[in-house]
Amino acid sequence: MFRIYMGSVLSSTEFTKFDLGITSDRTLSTIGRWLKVDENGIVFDDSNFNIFQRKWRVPVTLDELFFESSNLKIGTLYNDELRMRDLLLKITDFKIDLIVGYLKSQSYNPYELIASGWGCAQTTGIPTIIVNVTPPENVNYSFFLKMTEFTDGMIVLSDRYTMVAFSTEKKEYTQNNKGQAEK
Amino acid sequence: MIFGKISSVFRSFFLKRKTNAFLDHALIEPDAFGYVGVIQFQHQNFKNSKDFHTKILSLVKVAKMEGAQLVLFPAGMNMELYSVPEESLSGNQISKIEDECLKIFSNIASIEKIYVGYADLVKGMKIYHFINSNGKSVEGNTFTIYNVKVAFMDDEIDEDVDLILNPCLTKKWVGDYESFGHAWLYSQQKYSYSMESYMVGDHFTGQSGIYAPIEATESMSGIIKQTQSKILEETLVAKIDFSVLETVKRKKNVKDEYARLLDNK
Repeated sequence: MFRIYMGSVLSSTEFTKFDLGITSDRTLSTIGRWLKVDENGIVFDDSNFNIFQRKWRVPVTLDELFFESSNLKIGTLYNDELRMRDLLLKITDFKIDLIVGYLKSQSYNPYELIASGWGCAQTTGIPTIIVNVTPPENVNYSFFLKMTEFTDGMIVLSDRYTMVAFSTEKKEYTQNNKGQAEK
Repeated sequence: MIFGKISSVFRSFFLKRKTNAFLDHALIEPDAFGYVGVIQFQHQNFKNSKDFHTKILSLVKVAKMEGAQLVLFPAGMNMELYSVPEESLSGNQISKIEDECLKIFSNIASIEKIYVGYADLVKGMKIYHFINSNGKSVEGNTFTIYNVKVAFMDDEIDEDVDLILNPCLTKKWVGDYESFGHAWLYSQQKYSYSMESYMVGDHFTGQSGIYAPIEATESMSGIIKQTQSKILEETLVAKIDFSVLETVKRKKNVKDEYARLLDNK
Protein backbone atom coordinates (compact mmCIF):
# COMPACT_ATOMS: atom_id res chain seq x y z
CA MET A 1 0.00 0.00 0.00
CA PHE A 2 1.24 3.46 -0.89
CA ARG A 3 0.27 6.01 1.76
CA ILE A 4 -0.05 9.67 0.84
CA TYR A 5 -0.53 12.44 3.36
CA MET A 6 -2.05 15.72 2.16
CA GLY A 7 -1.97 18.85 4.29
CA SER A 8 0.32 21.08 6.29
CA VAL A 9 3.59 19.76 7.65
CA LEU A 10 2.45 20.62 11.16
CA SER A 11 -0.69 18.47 10.93
CA SER A 12 1.28 15.58 9.47
CA THR A 13 2.51 14.69 12.96
CA GLU A 14 -0.92 13.14 13.59
CA PHE A 15 -0.06 10.45 11.09
CA THR A 16 2.61 7.95 11.97
CA LYS A 17 3.96 6.92 8.62
CA PHE A 18 3.42 7.82 5.00
CA ASP A 19 5.34 7.35 1.77
CA LEU A 20 4.69 10.77 0.23
CA GLY A 21 3.53 14.06 1.66
CA ILE A 22 1.78 16.67 -0.45
CA THR A 23 1.71 20.15 0.98
CA SER A 24 1.31 23.76 -0.03
CA ASP A 25 3.82 24.75 2.63
CA ARG A 26 6.75 26.52 1.07
CA THR A 27 9.38 25.45 3.53
CA LEU A 28 9.95 22.08 5.13
CA SER A 29 11.86 21.18 8.22
CA THR A 30 11.26 17.48 8.22
CA ILE A 31 12.68 14.47 6.56
CA GLY A 32 10.74 12.35 4.10
CA ARG A 33 9.42 12.72 0.61
CA TRP A 34 7.37 15.81 -0.03
CA LEU A 35 5.74 17.41 -3.01
CA LYS A 36 5.78 21.06 -2.00
CA VAL A 37 5.31 24.48 -3.54
CA ASP A 38 7.83 27.25 -4.09
CA GLU A 39 7.67 30.54 -5.96
CA ASN A 40 8.70 28.90 -9.25
CA GLY A 41 6.36 25.93 -9.18
CA ILE A 42 6.09 22.59 -7.46
CA VAL A 43 9.07 20.65 -6.23
CA PHE A 44 9.49 17.05 -5.24
CA ASP A 45 11.80 17.03 -2.27
CA ASP A 46 13.33 13.75 -1.13
CA SER A 47 14.87 14.55 2.26
CA ASN A 48 16.16 17.92 1.08
CA PHE A 49 17.27 16.67 -2.34
CA ASN A 50 15.18 18.40 -4.96
CA ILE A 51 14.84 15.79 -7.62
CA PHE A 52 11.91 17.15 -9.62
CA GLN A 53 10.55 20.57 -10.37
CA ARG A 54 7.70 21.72 -12.55
CA LYS A 55 7.57 25.46 -13.12
CA TRP A 56 4.37 27.50 -13.28
CA ARG A 57 4.33 27.53 -17.06
CA VAL A 58 3.10 25.69 -20.12
CA PRO A 59 5.34 22.63 -20.44
CA VAL A 60 7.56 22.36 -23.48
CA THR A 61 7.43 18.56 -23.52
CA LEU A 62 5.10 16.10 -21.86
CA ASP A 63 8.03 14.65 -19.89
CA GLU A 64 8.04 17.85 -17.84
CA LEU A 65 4.81 16.66 -16.25
CA PHE A 66 6.05 13.40 -14.76
CA PHE A 67 8.41 12.09 -12.10
CA GLU A 68 8.94 8.79 -10.31
CA SER A 69 9.30 8.06 -6.64
CA SER A 70 9.35 4.61 -5.00
CA ASN A 71 8.19 3.00 -8.23
CA LEU A 72 5.22 5.35 -8.36
CA LYS A 73 4.96 7.50 -11.48
CA ILE A 74 3.28 10.79 -10.72
CA GLY A 75 1.89 13.32 -13.21
CA THR A 76 1.46 16.98 -12.30
CA LEU A 77 -1.15 19.26 -13.86
CA TYR A 78 -1.96 22.94 -13.32
CA ASN A 79 -5.35 24.69 -13.48
CA ASP A 80 -6.87 24.57 -17.00
CA GLU A 81 -4.75 21.52 -17.85
CA LEU A 82 -7.03 19.49 -15.58
CA ARG A 83 -9.92 20.15 -17.97
CA MET A 84 -8.03 19.81 -21.25
CA ARG A 85 -9.58 16.63 -22.60
CA ASP A 86 -6.97 16.25 -25.36
CA LEU A 87 -4.12 16.50 -22.86
CA LEU A 88 -5.80 14.11 -20.42
CA LEU A 89 -6.34 11.52 -23.11
CA LYS A 90 -2.74 11.91 -24.20
CA ILE A 91 -1.14 11.37 -20.79
CA THR A 92 -2.93 8.05 -20.33
CA ASP A 93 -0.24 6.59 -22.62
CA PHE A 94 2.44 7.28 -20.01
CA LYS A 95 1.38 4.63 -17.47
CA ILE A 96 1.00 7.08 -14.61
CA ASP A 97 -0.08 5.84 -11.17
CA LEU A 98 -1.24 9.15 -9.72
CA ILE A 99 -2.04 12.68 -10.90
CA VAL A 100 -1.51 15.64 -8.59
CA GLY A 101 -3.38 18.72 -9.79
CA TYR A 102 -2.90 22.27 -8.55
CA LEU A 103 -6.05 24.35 -8.94
CA LYS A 104 -6.17 28.03 -8.08
CA SER A 105 -9.78 29.20 -7.73
CA GLN A 106 -11.29 32.65 -7.24
CA SER A 107 -13.57 31.18 -4.59
CA TYR A 108 -14.51 27.73 -3.30
CA ASN A 109 -16.67 26.04 -5.93
CA PRO A 110 -17.32 22.27 -5.62
CA TYR A 111 -18.42 22.16 -9.26
CA GLU A 112 -15.06 23.46 -10.38
CA LEU A 113 -13.32 20.91 -8.16
CA ILE A 114 -15.47 18.15 -9.58
CA ALA A 115 -14.96 19.32 -13.16
CA SER A 116 -11.20 19.44 -12.64
CA GLY A 117 -10.45 16.54 -10.28
CA TRP A 118 -13.26 14.05 -10.72
CA GLY A 119 -13.34 14.83 -14.44
CA CYS A 120 -9.61 14.15 -14.72
CA ALA A 121 -10.01 10.81 -12.90
CA GLN A 122 -12.92 9.79 -15.15
CA THR A 123 -11.14 10.73 -18.37
CA THR A 124 -7.73 9.27 -17.55
CA GLY A 125 -8.78 6.44 -15.20
CA ILE A 126 -5.91 7.56 -12.94
CA PRO A 127 -6.38 8.41 -9.22
CA THR A 128 -6.27 12.20 -8.92
CA ILE A 129 -5.35 14.45 -5.99
CA ILE A 130 -6.33 18.12 -6.19
CA VAL A 131 -4.59 20.84 -4.19
CA ASN A 132 -7.15 23.64 -4.31
CA VAL A 133 -6.00 27.13 -3.36
CA THR A 134 -8.60 29.84 -2.70
CA PRO A 135 -8.10 33.42 -1.46
CA PRO A 136 -6.69 34.59 0.80
CA GLU A 137 -4.57 31.50 1.43
CA ASN A 138 -6.93 28.61 2.03
CA VAL A 139 -5.81 25.23 0.82
CA ASN A 140 -7.96 22.10 0.61
CA TYR A 141 -7.15 18.64 -0.67
CA SER A 142 -9.35 16.21 -2.62
CA PHE A 143 -8.93 12.68 -3.90
CA PHE A 144 -10.90 11.21 -6.81
CA LEU A 145 -11.04 7.84 -8.54
CA LYS A 146 -12.60 6.53 -11.69
CA MET A 147 -16.25 5.69 -11.12
CA THR A 148 -17.19 2.00 -10.92
CA GLU A 149 -20.42 0.15 -10.26
CA PHE A 150 -19.54 0.33 -6.55
CA THR A 151 -18.21 3.87 -6.14
CA ASP A 152 -19.02 7.26 -7.59
CA GLY A 153 -15.31 8.04 -7.48
CA MET A 154 -15.31 10.69 -4.79
CA ILE A 155 -13.12 9.59 -1.89
CA VAL A 156 -12.20 12.95 -0.35
CA LEU A 157 -13.83 16.25 -1.24
CA SER A 158 -11.99 19.23 0.08
CA ASP A 159 -10.34 18.35 3.40
CA ARG A 160 -7.73 20.53 5.09
CA TYR A 161 -5.60 17.50 5.81
CA THR A 162 -6.06 13.80 5.33
CA MET A 163 -4.31 10.63 4.32
CA VAL A 164 -5.17 8.22 1.54
CA ALA A 165 -3.63 4.82 0.90
CA PHE A 166 -3.75 2.81 -2.27
CA SER A 167 -2.19 -0.13 -3.98
CA THR A 168 -1.23 0.46 -7.57
CA GLU A 169 -1.39 -3.27 -8.28
CA LYS A 170 -4.67 -4.20 -6.62
CA LYS A 171 -6.22 -0.76 -7.06
CA GLU A 172 -7.44 -0.70 -3.49
CA TYR A 173 -8.03 2.64 -1.85
CA THR A 174 -8.75 3.63 1.73
CA GLN A 175 -8.87 6.87 3.61
CA ASN A 176 -7.74 7.72 7.10
CA ASN A 177 -9.44 11.01 7.64
CA LYS A 178 -8.52 13.15 10.59
CA GLY A 179 -9.41 16.58 9.38
CA GLN A 180 -12.45 18.28 8.02
CA ALA A 181 -12.28 21.34 5.84
CA GLU A 182 -13.62 24.63 7.06
CA LYS A 183 -15.56 26.56 4.55
CA MET B 1 -18.01 13.78 8.98
CA ILE B 2 -16.84 13.49 5.40
CA PHE B 3 -20.22 12.12 4.41
CA GLY B 4 -21.93 15.05 6.11
CA LYS B 5 -19.81 17.40 4.09
CA ILE B 6 -20.40 15.53 0.87
CA SER B 7 -24.14 15.47 1.41
CA SER B 8 -24.15 19.19 2.14
CA VAL B 9 -22.32 19.82 -1.10
CA PHE B 10 -24.90 17.83 -2.98
CA ARG B 11 -27.74 19.44 -1.15
CA SER B 12 -26.38 22.77 -2.30
CA PHE B 13 -25.90 21.27 -5.76
CA PHE B 14 -29.55 20.38 -6.02
CA LEU B 15 -30.75 23.58 -4.39
CA LYS B 16 -28.68 25.65 -6.72
CA ARG B 17 -30.00 23.71 -9.65
CA LYS B 18 -31.82 26.42 -11.47
CA THR B 19 -32.02 27.96 -14.81
CA ASN B 20 -29.36 30.45 -15.61
CA ALA B 21 -29.71 34.01 -16.62
CA PHE B 22 -30.04 33.14 -20.25
CA LEU B 23 -33.49 31.67 -19.87
CA ASP B 24 -36.27 33.97 -20.88
CA HIS B 25 -39.35 33.70 -22.96
CA ALA B 26 -38.61 36.34 -25.52
CA LEU B 27 -39.82 35.81 -29.04
CA ILE B 28 -37.50 33.66 -31.08
CA GLU B 29 -35.76 35.39 -33.91
CA PRO B 30 -36.52 33.35 -37.01
CA ASP B 31 -32.91 33.40 -38.16
CA ALA B 32 -31.30 32.57 -34.82
CA PHE B 33 -30.85 29.33 -32.98
CA GLY B 34 -30.92 29.20 -29.22
CA TYR B 35 -33.89 27.31 -27.77
CA VAL B 36 -33.36 23.61 -27.17
CA GLY B 37 -35.53 20.88 -25.68
CA VAL B 38 -34.73 17.59 -24.00
CA ILE B 39 -37.33 14.86 -23.62
CA GLN B 40 -37.00 12.44 -20.71
CA PHE B 41 -39.11 9.75 -22.33
CA GLN B 42 -41.41 7.33 -20.52
CA HIS B 43 -40.85 3.80 -21.81
CA GLN B 44 -44.15 2.27 -22.93
CA ASN B 45 -43.81 -0.45 -25.60
CA PHE B 46 -46.37 0.89 -28.05
CA LYS B 47 -48.94 -1.45 -29.53
CA ASN B 48 -48.69 0.18 -32.94
CA SER B 49 -46.73 2.87 -34.73
CA LYS B 50 -49.75 5.19 -34.85
CA ASP B 51 -49.82 5.46 -31.05
CA PHE B 52 -46.07 6.02 -31.07
CA HIS B 53 -46.45 8.79 -33.67
CA THR B 54 -49.17 10.46 -31.61
CA LYS B 55 -47.05 10.32 -28.47
CA ILE B 56 -43.91 11.72 -30.12
CA LEU B 57 -45.93 14.46 -31.83
CA SER B 58 -47.52 15.54 -28.56
CA LEU B 59 -44.12 15.76 -26.84
CA VAL B 60 -42.61 17.74 -29.71
CA LYS B 61 -45.57 20.11 -29.68
CA VAL B 62 -45.12 20.75 -25.94
CA ALA B 63 -41.41 21.48 -26.42
CA LYS B 64 -42.12 23.66 -29.44
CA MET B 65 -44.76 25.65 -27.55
CA GLU B 66 -42.04 26.55 -25.06
CA GLY B 67 -39.86 27.68 -27.93
CA ALA B 68 -37.67 24.66 -28.68
CA GLN B 69 -36.09 24.63 -32.14
CA LEU B 70 -34.16 21.42 -31.55
CA VAL B 71 -35.48 18.49 -29.52
CA LEU B 72 -33.43 15.57 -28.25
CA PHE B 73 -34.99 12.20 -27.49
CA PRO B 74 -33.14 9.37 -25.70
CA ALA B 75 -31.48 6.26 -27.09
CA GLY B 76 -33.54 3.14 -27.76
CA MET B 77 -36.49 4.80 -29.48
CA ASN B 78 -36.73 1.87 -31.92
CA MET B 79 -37.27 -0.47 -28.97
CA GLU B 80 -40.53 1.30 -28.25
CA LEU B 81 -41.92 -0.39 -31.37
CA TYR B 82 -40.70 -3.89 -30.49
CA SER B 83 -43.58 -6.31 -29.86
CA VAL B 84 -41.17 -9.06 -28.76
CA PRO B 85 -37.64 -8.97 -27.27
CA GLU B 86 -34.85 -8.01 -29.69
CA GLU B 87 -33.38 -11.55 -29.55
CA SER B 88 -36.56 -12.86 -31.15
CA LEU B 89 -36.38 -10.44 -34.08
CA SER B 90 -34.54 -11.08 -37.33
CA GLY B 91 -32.11 -8.54 -38.76
CA ASN B 92 -34.65 -7.68 -41.40
CA GLN B 93 -37.37 -7.05 -38.83
CA ILE B 94 -35.05 -4.85 -36.75
CA SER B 95 -34.19 -2.80 -39.87
CA LYS B 96 -37.85 -2.37 -40.74
CA ILE B 97 -38.63 -1.09 -37.25
CA GLU B 98 -35.70 1.34 -37.44
CA ASP B 99 -37.02 2.65 -40.76
CA GLU B 100 -40.51 3.00 -39.34
CA CYS B 101 -39.14 4.93 -36.37
CA LEU B 102 -37.12 7.24 -38.60
CA LYS B 103 -40.17 7.83 -40.82
CA ILE B 104 -42.21 8.91 -37.79
CA PHE B 105 -39.55 11.30 -36.51
CA SER B 106 -38.96 12.72 -40.01
CA ASN B 107 -42.66 13.28 -40.53
CA ILE B 108 -42.99 15.12 -37.21
CA ALA B 109 -39.84 17.19 -37.82
CA SER B 110 -41.18 18.35 -41.20
CA ILE B 111 -44.70 19.08 -39.91
CA GLU B 112 -43.47 21.00 -36.87
CA LYS B 113 -40.45 22.52 -38.65
CA ILE B 114 -38.13 21.46 -35.88
CA TYR B 115 -34.73 19.73 -35.64
CA VAL B 116 -34.81 16.33 -33.93
CA GLY B 117 -32.04 14.12 -32.54
CA TYR B 118 -32.39 10.60 -31.13
CA ALA B 119 -30.67 7.21 -31.19
CA ASP B 120 -31.77 3.68 -31.95
CA LEU B 121 -30.22 0.82 -30.02
CA VAL B 122 -29.42 -2.34 -31.93
CA LYS B 123 -27.62 -5.12 -30.07
CA GLY B 124 -26.41 -2.60 -27.54
CA MET B 125 -24.98 -0.24 -30.17
CA LYS B 126 -26.24 3.32 -30.51
CA ILE B 127 -27.25 4.45 -33.98
CA TYR B 128 -27.60 8.22 -34.01
CA HIS B 129 -30.20 10.07 -36.07
CA PHE B 130 -30.31 13.78 -36.73
CA ILE B 131 -33.26 15.15 -38.70
CA ASN B 132 -33.43 18.69 -40.01
CA SER B 133 -36.47 20.93 -39.93
CA ASN B 134 -37.46 19.77 -43.42
CA GLY B 135 -37.74 16.22 -42.15
CA LYS B 136 -34.58 15.08 -43.87
CA SER B 137 -32.25 12.68 -42.08
CA VAL B 138 -28.75 14.19 -42.06
CA GLU B 139 -25.80 11.85 -42.48
CA GLY B 140 -22.67 12.14 -40.37
CA ASN B 141 -21.85 13.02 -36.80
CA THR B 142 -21.51 16.80 -37.01
CA PHE B 143 -24.21 19.22 -38.17
CA THR B 144 -24.74 22.94 -38.53
CA ILE B 145 -27.81 24.84 -37.40
CA TYR B 146 -27.64 28.60 -38.14
CA ASN B 147 -23.82 28.55 -37.93
CA VAL B 148 -23.91 26.59 -34.68
CA LYS B 149 -21.90 23.39 -34.80
CA VAL B 150 -23.76 20.46 -33.30
CA ALA B 151 -22.46 16.92 -32.81
CA PHE B 152 -23.36 13.69 -31.10
CA MET B 153 -21.09 12.92 -28.13
CA ASP B 154 -18.05 11.05 -29.29
CA ASP B 155 -14.38 11.15 -28.31
CA GLU B 156 -13.42 11.17 -31.96
CA ILE B 157 -14.79 14.69 -32.49
CA ASP B 158 -11.79 16.89 -33.18
CA GLU B 159 -13.78 19.89 -34.26
CA ASP B 160 -14.59 22.75 -31.94
CA VAL B 161 -18.33 22.12 -31.54
CA ASP B 162 -20.83 24.39 -29.78
CA LEU B 163 -23.49 21.89 -28.78
CA ILE B 164 -23.18 18.20 -27.93
CA LEU B 165 -26.10 15.77 -28.05
CA ASN B 166 -26.06 12.67 -25.86
CA PRO B 167 -29.08 10.41 -26.19
CA CYS B 168 -28.84 7.69 -23.49
CA LEU B 169 -30.88 4.68 -22.44
CA THR B 170 -30.47 4.32 -18.68
CA LYS B 171 -28.10 4.98 -15.83
CA LYS B 172 -27.42 3.23 -12.53
CA TRP B 173 -26.76 5.29 -9.45
CA VAL B 174 -24.13 4.49 -6.86
CA GLY B 175 -24.25 8.03 -5.46
CA ASP B 176 -25.60 11.49 -6.20
CA TYR B 177 -22.27 12.24 -7.74
CA GLU B 178 -23.21 10.54 -10.98
CA SER B 179 -25.61 13.35 -11.74
CA PHE B 180 -22.48 15.11 -12.95
CA GLY B 181 -21.69 12.40 -15.48
CA HIS B 182 -21.28 12.25 -19.20
CA ALA B 183 -22.60 15.36 -20.95
CA TRP B 184 -21.99 17.69 -17.99
CA LEU B 185 -18.35 16.61 -17.86
CA TYR B 186 -18.01 16.93 -21.63
CA SER B 187 -19.25 20.53 -21.35
CA GLN B 188 -16.54 21.25 -18.78
CA GLN B 189 -13.76 19.73 -20.85
CA LYS B 190 -14.81 20.88 -24.30
CA TYR B 191 -16.32 24.25 -23.34
CA SER B 192 -19.53 23.49 -25.21
CA TYR B 193 -23.21 23.32 -24.37
CA SER B 194 -24.64 19.82 -24.07
CA MET B 195 -27.99 18.04 -23.97
CA GLU B 196 -28.50 14.61 -22.43
CA SER B 197 -31.71 12.62 -22.61
CA TYR B 198 -32.71 9.38 -20.85
CA MET B 199 -35.43 6.75 -21.08
CA VAL B 200 -37.34 6.35 -17.80
CA GLY B 201 -40.04 4.10 -16.39
CA ASP B 202 -40.23 0.32 -16.07
CA HIS B 203 -36.61 -0.64 -15.19
CA PHE B 204 -35.11 2.49 -16.79
CA THR B 205 -33.85 5.43 -14.74
CA GLY B 206 -31.99 8.57 -15.71
CA GLN B 207 -31.64 12.28 -15.17
CA SER B 208 -31.76 14.33 -18.32
CA GLY B 209 -30.34 17.80 -18.55
CA ILE B 210 -29.05 20.77 -20.48
CA TYR B 211 -25.52 21.77 -19.48
CA ALA B 212 -22.86 24.42 -20.07
CA PRO B 213 -19.32 25.10 -18.94
CA ILE B 214 -19.51 26.24 -15.29
CA GLU B 215 -18.17 29.65 -16.34
CA ALA B 216 -21.20 30.13 -18.62
CA THR B 217 -23.79 29.71 -15.87
CA GLU B 218 -24.77 32.27 -13.27
CA SER B 219 -24.79 29.64 -10.51
CA MET B 220 -21.31 28.45 -11.59
CA SER B 221 -22.64 24.90 -11.58
CA GLY B 222 -22.69 24.18 -15.30
CA ILE B 223 -26.32 23.12 -15.02
CA ILE B 224 -28.82 25.09 -17.07
CA LYS B 225 -31.71 22.72 -16.50
CA GLN B 226 -32.03 19.20 -15.14
CA THR B 227 -35.06 16.98 -14.65
CA GLN B 228 -36.53 16.81 -11.16
CA SER B 229 -37.35 13.12 -11.43
CA LYS B 230 -35.21 10.14 -12.36
CA ILE B 231 -38.24 7.95 -13.15
CA LEU B 232 -40.94 10.20 -14.59
CA GLU B 233 -41.37 11.75 -18.02
CA GLU B 234 -40.35 15.41 -18.25
CA THR B 235 -39.70 17.96 -20.95
CA LEU B 236 -36.97 20.56 -20.48
CA VAL B 237 -36.66 23.64 -22.66
CA ALA B 238 -33.98 26.28 -22.21
CA LYS B 239 -32.48 29.14 -24.12
CA ILE B 240 -28.76 28.85 -24.61
CA ASP B 241 -26.69 31.86 -25.59
CA PHE B 242 -23.85 31.01 -27.93
CA SER B 243 -22.30 34.47 -27.56
CA VAL B 244 -21.70 33.68 -23.86
CA LEU B 245 -20.06 30.44 -24.90
CA GLU B 246 -17.80 32.34 -27.29
CA THR B 247 -16.72 34.67 -24.47
CA VAL B 248 -15.91 31.72 -22.21
CA LYS B 249 -14.02 29.99 -25.01
CA ARG B 250 -11.97 33.12 -25.69
CA LYS B 251 -11.06 33.45 -22.01
CA LYS B 252 -10.23 29.77 -21.73
CA ASN B 253 -8.51 29.47 -25.04
CA VAL B 254 -5.26 27.81 -24.11
CA LYS B 255 -5.25 25.67 -27.23
CA ASP B 256 -2.65 27.77 -29.02
CA GLU B 257 -0.30 27.67 -26.05
CA TYR B 258 -0.61 23.91 -25.79
CA ALA B 259 -0.83 23.14 -29.51
CA ARG B 260 2.85 22.31 -29.81
CA LEU B 261 2.75 20.05 -26.78
CA LEU B 262 -0.34 18.21 -27.98
CA ASP B 263 0.89 17.88 -31.54
CA ASN B 264 4.15 16.36 -30.28
CA LYS B 265 3.93 12.67 -31.06
